Order: sequence, then C-alpha cells, then structure tokens
Amino acid sequence: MRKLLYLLLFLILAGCSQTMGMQNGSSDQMDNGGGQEDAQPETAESQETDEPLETSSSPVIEDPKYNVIPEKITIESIGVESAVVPVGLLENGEMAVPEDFKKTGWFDLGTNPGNRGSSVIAGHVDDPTGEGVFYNLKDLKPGDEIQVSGEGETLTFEVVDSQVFPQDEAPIDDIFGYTSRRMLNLITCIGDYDVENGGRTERLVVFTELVEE
Amino acid sequence: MNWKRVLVAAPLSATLIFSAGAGAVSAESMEHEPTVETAAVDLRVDLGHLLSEHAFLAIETMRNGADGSEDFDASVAALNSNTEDLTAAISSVYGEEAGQSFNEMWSNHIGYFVDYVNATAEGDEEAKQMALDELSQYKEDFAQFLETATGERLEAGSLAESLQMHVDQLIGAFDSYVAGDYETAYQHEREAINHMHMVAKGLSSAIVDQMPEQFNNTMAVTPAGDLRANLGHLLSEHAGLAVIAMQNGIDGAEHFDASTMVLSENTGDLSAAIGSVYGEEAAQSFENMWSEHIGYFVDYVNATAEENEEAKQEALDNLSTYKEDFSAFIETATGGNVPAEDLANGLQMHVEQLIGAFDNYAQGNYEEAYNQAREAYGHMYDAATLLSSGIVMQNPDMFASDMPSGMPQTGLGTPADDNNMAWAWILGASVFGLAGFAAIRKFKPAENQK
Repeated sequence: MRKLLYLLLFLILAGCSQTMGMQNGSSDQMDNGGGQEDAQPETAESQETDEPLETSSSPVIEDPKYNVIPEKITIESIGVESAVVPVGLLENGEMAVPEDFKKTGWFDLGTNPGNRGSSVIAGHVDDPTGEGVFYNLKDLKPGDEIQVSGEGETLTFEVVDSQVFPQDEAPIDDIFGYTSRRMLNLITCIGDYDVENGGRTERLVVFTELVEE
Repeated sequence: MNWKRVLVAAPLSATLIFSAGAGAVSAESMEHEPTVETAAVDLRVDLGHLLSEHAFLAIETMRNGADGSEDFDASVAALNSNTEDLTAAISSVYGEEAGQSFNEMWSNHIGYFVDYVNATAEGDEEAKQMALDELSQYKEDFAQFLETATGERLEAGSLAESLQMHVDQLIGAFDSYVAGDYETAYQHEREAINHMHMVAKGLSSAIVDQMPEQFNNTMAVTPAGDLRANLGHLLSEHAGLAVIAMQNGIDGAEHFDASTMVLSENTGDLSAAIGSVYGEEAAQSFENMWSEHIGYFVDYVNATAEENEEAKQEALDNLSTYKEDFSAFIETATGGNVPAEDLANGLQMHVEQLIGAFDNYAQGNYEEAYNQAREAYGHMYDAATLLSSGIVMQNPDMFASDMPSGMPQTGLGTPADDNNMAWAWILGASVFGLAGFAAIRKFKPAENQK
C-alpha cells in the first residue's frame, strides 16, 4: 500500500513539474493561465505508461522529530496547568527557577521536550501564600500523563519513575544528561525546610518519557 | 542507574573562588575549560567512526553486489575488516567474550544483507523475504545483547526499533539503487550514516554511565564533544562520498550525478557547521573553497579518463595550492588555534589517500583501493579533532558545559502560616530574585531550537 502511495505521489509530482514547465513555456503567449489546470491530469496519465520496476524505490527513512519550545504544561491527574518560561543557570551554577511560584521553568541550555536526551522543567512546591505549581508532583504515578505544548503543538509524556535525592547528591548527569530516550524530567523540592540554607533539603525528580505516535 | 555520582571538581573550585570573596565571579572560572578530547568523547567518536563506516561500506558493497562489479570482493573485505575493528572496540569495553559474541552476531547480519542482494539478483521474492526475516530475528537478539551488556541502560525495545531503522535504511538504499532511483538511494545512504552517529551517541552515553570511572567521569555528550562528533561525521562522510563519486566518474556510472549531488549536500552541511560558529560570511567562504577542492578531484578523474598526464599534474598542483590557502584561511579564522602547518599536513594526507584510493581503483587494485578508502575515512576523525579542538580553544564560552552544577531551588518556602519564618522569606526571595536577574545564558546549539 505504501509503495502504491509513493508511486502515486511520484506521479503527481511528475505531473506538477511538467505542468510548471508548461506554465513557464506558455507564459509569453497567455496573460491568464486559464487552460493550465487541464494540462495536469493529461501529463500525469502519460507517466503511467512507464514500465513497472521489479524492485521499487522507498522513501528516505529519518529519525522522527518531535520537538517543542515549551510554553504550557498540563498534568491533569494533579490539576496542573501552568505557563512554562525558559530559565538558564544561576551564577553559582545551579539551575535557575522562575520568580513566579505559579509558573514552571524549562532549562533551555538543555534540549527541547521531545528531542532525544533529558529536557528538564522545574517548579516550586510552595510559596509564602500556599501551594506552588508542583505541590502535588509527589502524587504522580507511573503511567500518568503530562502534556507539554508550544507553538500550537502538543506532546504527551508518561511517568516512568520518581526518585527523591538529597539536594547535594542528586545525579545531575542522569537528570540533565544525554540519553537516547526522549525524556522530560520534572523537578521540585521536597523534605524538611532547612532554615540555615533557606530551602528544602531534598529534591523530587519525576522521570517521564515521550509517548510516540 | 548509578545515582551516586557526585560532581566533585566544580563545587570544590567554586568554594575556593567564593572564599577568596571578591565580588562577582564568572561562571567559566568555576568550571574546567571545555575540551573536545575526553575519554567519553573519544569513545563516542570511535563508535561513530566505525558504525557509520559500516553503514557506508555495507551500502557500497550491496551496490557492487547488485552490479556484479569487479571490486565486490574487495568491498566485502573492507566491510569485514571494519567488523574486526568494531569487535576490538566492543572487547575493549566489555571484554573478549562479549567481543566474540558481538562479532558473531554482527557478521551474521552482514550475511543476511548479502542474502538479500543475491535474492534480488535472482529475482527470488521468497529468498528476499527469508533474508528480511533473518534480519528481523537478528535485530531482537542483538538488542537483547546490548541491553544486557549496558546493564539495561539501553532498552531492548527501543534498540530493536533503532536496529530496524538501520536495516530499513540499508534495504531502502539498495532497493532504490536497483530501481534506478539513484537520488533516493544516496539520500538513504546519508541518513543511514547519520543514524549510526546517533546510535554511537546513545550507546557511548550508556556505556559511560555504566562505568564512569573508566572514562574519568567525563561525558560523551557535551557542546565541545558535539562539535567534534559533528565535524567527524561530516568530514568522514565527505571522504567516503568523494571516494565513491570518483569511482563513479571513471566508470562513467549512471549514478555519478546522484553521488556528486550528495557530496554537495555534505559540503552544505559542513559549511553550516562552520557558519554556526563563525557566521554566514565565513560559511560562504568555506563553502567556496571546499567546493573548489572537490572540483580539482573531479579534474583529476577526468584527466585520468582522458589519460592526460599533464592535466592530472595540473589538478594535483591545484590541490597543493588549495591546501596552503585553505590552511591559512582556517588558521586566521581560528585565531591561530588551528596552526596552518598542522592542517596542511592533514590535508596533504587527505589528498594522497583519495588519489591513492582512486588510482588503485582505476588500475584494478581493488584491495588497495579499499584500504586507502578506509584510511581516508578514518583520517578525517583526526582532522575533526584538530579543527574542533582549535575552535573550542578559541571560543571556550560558546562551548562551555551546559550542565548545571546544582539542583534548582524550587521551594523557598515554609508553610504560609509560619510567621516566624517570614523574614527568611523576604530575604530569601530577594536574594533569589537578584540571582535570577543575573542568570547566565550560554551557547545553545541551533539544532536544539526548533
């Protein structure tokens, strides 16, 4: 069936290119190309007399590309619907986070969600007034879905694992580094509040993987 | 997974700098200078070299098989010696026994491709299907082998998918060639080569993650490593496609035009890689010079066909002049970080290898022709190291590590009803805000953007 489609596509393309050739050739004589559309089926037909080949050519096979610059993240199972803003590094080398506690931050020095590798989105667990955007991230279970969209395109990811790490012992390479899988890793804080350092002592990482169509 | 890894060096140097205490600290001073030569990147590039060369040689061998051409045996021998090199690479990581298993599976899968070629020649649809079935079984077995070898860092499921893509690309390249759709055949070839570099990227990352100490805790995928791998990919592809285009030229083969077309596409990609660092104008200059040297090779082929010794010498002289001009151009572009003399020596080898591969082919010394072709393909990885190393030394900020050294502060807060802590909130938030304001942006390769 695919071969047939491809052959058909080829015929149409061949027809088009010939029609274009005619357009160019006849443009001197005609101000309005009124008769051009008629020419197309005719030239396509003439191609059909080509003898069939024993072995047929096949379309070039490329790695599928899924890739958005994230603008919105939706996690229905925990009621998250939030804007995503790009963030980079702080001067101390830590991943930055959005100032707005209701927004999430995409680490834009890493890869885009959908690409092979680890894309990372972080969000606050809470703020002085109450729950932050990722307050319920801990409730996510394997199989739960995450939607990330940007520029009119939406990608779906599925939770594959959740891990808690002491803040200073998180495996940065595994969370941010390259893998041939198309990962989106979500980060928030968890654990006790550390008065001295002004933050929580642990980090929750939810590993999610692209659901390919 | 190995969750226990801790980055020691960066936080340590950061501590030292902060304790010195004076004002703003640049991010770069806290990190090691980026470099293209690390144990992990070496592994990635070696695997990319050998795996992509496998795809390249397999496609050429299958074409030779279909044509029943005289150099078929020599191309098979080259493909087999590539398998030996791959086996050595696998053995160096996983030991002799694993290397042997690898060798057996890998050699078998090449055999199934040969079966497919023979079946096509005989018009035997049943035998073709049998070869495809064998390849399908191989795919499952080999994926399982790699999943086990990498301690499940690579999943058999997605590996199998990736191997199927390799099979489909090679079969696609072959079928299109036999059907006389040469343009598509050569596009398949470029994708098949590209795919193998992706496999190398994923496989090397998994191996390095599995045994970090053996690779000095370096990473296979870094901005500097990406540059070296990308240049190695495109330069070796250039060498491979140039060898084939020259062969096609002297044979007066029907698919000559298609082979020169992909060679030009490769030039476009190389120029874009240069442009991503040095800008549009430099890319254009590079493209002009690079195309010029391809033209001299074509002159040499034509002169050989016409048995015109004078014209052959003229082509060689032009290549010699080009070598000097191009090296000077690159030395200037890289601010002296790629010494013209080193590059000129490298280019001289490139010219000798391509001319050597071609002369031997034209004279019917096919074995030597393929030896030199393999040399030419491999040599480009040295050229890529030289070039990428100079470019990264010149632009350390652009190729600085894009990994954070710490996790984000995603919870500044105490519960909202804890009034005692309110001051910490305000203080923390303002410090945080300042730090956020000063967040550092770094180079982000264009390919990551949509």
